[in-house]
Amino acid sequence: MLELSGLSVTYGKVRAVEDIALTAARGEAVALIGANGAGKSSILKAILGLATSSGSVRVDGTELTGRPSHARVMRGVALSPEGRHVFPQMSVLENLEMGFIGGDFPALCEDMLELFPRLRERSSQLAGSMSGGEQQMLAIARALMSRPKVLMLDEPTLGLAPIIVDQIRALIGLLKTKGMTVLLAEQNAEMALAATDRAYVLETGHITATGPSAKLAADPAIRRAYLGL
Amino acid sequence: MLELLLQQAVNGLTQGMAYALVALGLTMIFGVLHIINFSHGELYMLGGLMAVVATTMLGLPYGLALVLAVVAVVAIAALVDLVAVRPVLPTKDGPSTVLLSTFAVSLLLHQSVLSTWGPNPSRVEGLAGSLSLGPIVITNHRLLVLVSGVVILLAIEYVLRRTLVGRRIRAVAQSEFAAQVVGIDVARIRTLTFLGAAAIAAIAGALIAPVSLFTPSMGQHAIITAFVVVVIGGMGNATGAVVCGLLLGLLEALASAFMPQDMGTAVIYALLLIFLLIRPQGLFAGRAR
Ligand SMILES: Nc1ncnc2c1ncn2[C@@H]1O[C@H](COP(=O)(O)OP(=O)(O)OP(=O)(O)O)[C@@H](O)[C@H]1O
Ligand SMILES: [Mg+2]
Repeated sequence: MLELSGLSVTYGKVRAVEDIALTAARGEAVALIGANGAGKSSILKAILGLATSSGSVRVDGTELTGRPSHARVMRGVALSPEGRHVFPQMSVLENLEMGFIGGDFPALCEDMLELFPRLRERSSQLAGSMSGGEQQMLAIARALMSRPKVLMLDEPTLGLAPIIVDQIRALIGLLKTKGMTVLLAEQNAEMALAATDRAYVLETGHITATGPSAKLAADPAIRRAYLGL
Repeated sequence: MLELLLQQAVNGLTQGMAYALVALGLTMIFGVLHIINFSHGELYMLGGLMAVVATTMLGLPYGLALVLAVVAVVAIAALVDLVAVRPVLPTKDGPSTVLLSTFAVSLLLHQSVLSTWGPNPSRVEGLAGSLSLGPIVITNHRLLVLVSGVVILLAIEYVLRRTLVGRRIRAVAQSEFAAQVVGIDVARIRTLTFLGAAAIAAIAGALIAPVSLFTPSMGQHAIITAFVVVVIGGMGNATGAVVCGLLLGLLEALASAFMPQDMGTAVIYALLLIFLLIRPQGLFAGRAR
């Protein structure tokens, strides 16, 4: 479903990500783990065309390289960005509308409010006045409004209570059963490895390890470096 | 004395409505594109020029002149966008470079009109007749300016709140990054905003021309005033632009009842300086977009 090959991301002269390859199948959840500045967000932004990159990004067989972000969203990629970035002066429903690109709007909204009951209670509240956890829910729901084939979640659990972390983990499981591909970038390696099927370990722009999440979680070197054990 | 003041207030509000419309466009462009379009005042001037050309040279009725002004000015604005904004904005220091490139455009537009049309004021026939309210006389045309202004403001409010494209414009103003993330075509929204603001400036110029005569320098005065209005009202703040535009027109007219015309302008510059120094975020900072 998602195939990256030879992907490099640059900021001016700085190379943040160098020549990486990554795949994620339909209905598969894949984690990208790594320390601060490893390049996780850069990869997700490059997939959506929001960072200067070279190499190939394919979704469902379609080459996305060279296309603008809005064309990529139409092709089935969606991002819940690091730091949430909801539209602060818009209501929950208006935020959801901004993520909508086609189909049955009321039905999709209803799906989202079903999935995130907290958002229903706050449906006409301005997003900027909601709690961090609620904004995170909204950012994910807004991304889901485009009914993506590939959902990218960038640090969705950062600073959130354990109960919400569990909810997000359960949500990833649910989306997988619906055939969605989930790409999860997390510093919280424990959560990320528990929530996904496979994972890539990123160090200063390079992939240094990859394999089934359960296997990586049992790897002594990874446990030492990322799980604090 | 009171009659004079009331009369001046009505006249000031008419001029203030034009300021409000120009400033609103300027502030919308600032809110969405993060640039100051220095050529905005000249688009207002061209609106006035089109009204003169259409009514006196082509002999068209005033209503048609308004339409022509909008169409012609939007076309010119599209060219300005293509030449002086779009290619410049993505470069390093884009926003401040756009200030210079649109300043160049404003000089070009102003000089072209000045050298072909000449500096003398031209009369434009607007609506005839007037309305007397006790001692105060309101010409029908001033009434038209006020009523159209209110209708345009309500229409803009409606578009921004109640239509999808309007909500997308607000989304880009609130977070350009988030707008890109959700797949809004930000470049298209920018152009739409730029052209929408140009259309408003064109109508304002064509509406005010029969009141204050057309001169090629009306754009220069308007951009400075609109800039003051935008600074006082809060950069990117629509409500602030409208309220302060009306107030400034009022102030200017009332001041000119007591002091020479040029002093009124000096007062405006002094206000700008004071606000930049003590309250650079404007009077209405933090209001909803
Ligand atoms: N806009 C930018 N301009 C310049 N350098 C950048 C920019 N964004 C990221 N970088 C650099 O690219 C590298 C990778 O950053 P990135 O945000 O992708 O890391 P990350 O793995 O997501 O980190 P974190 O866990 O802190 O979110 C870092 O060295 C960072 O300093
Ligand atoms: Mg990151």
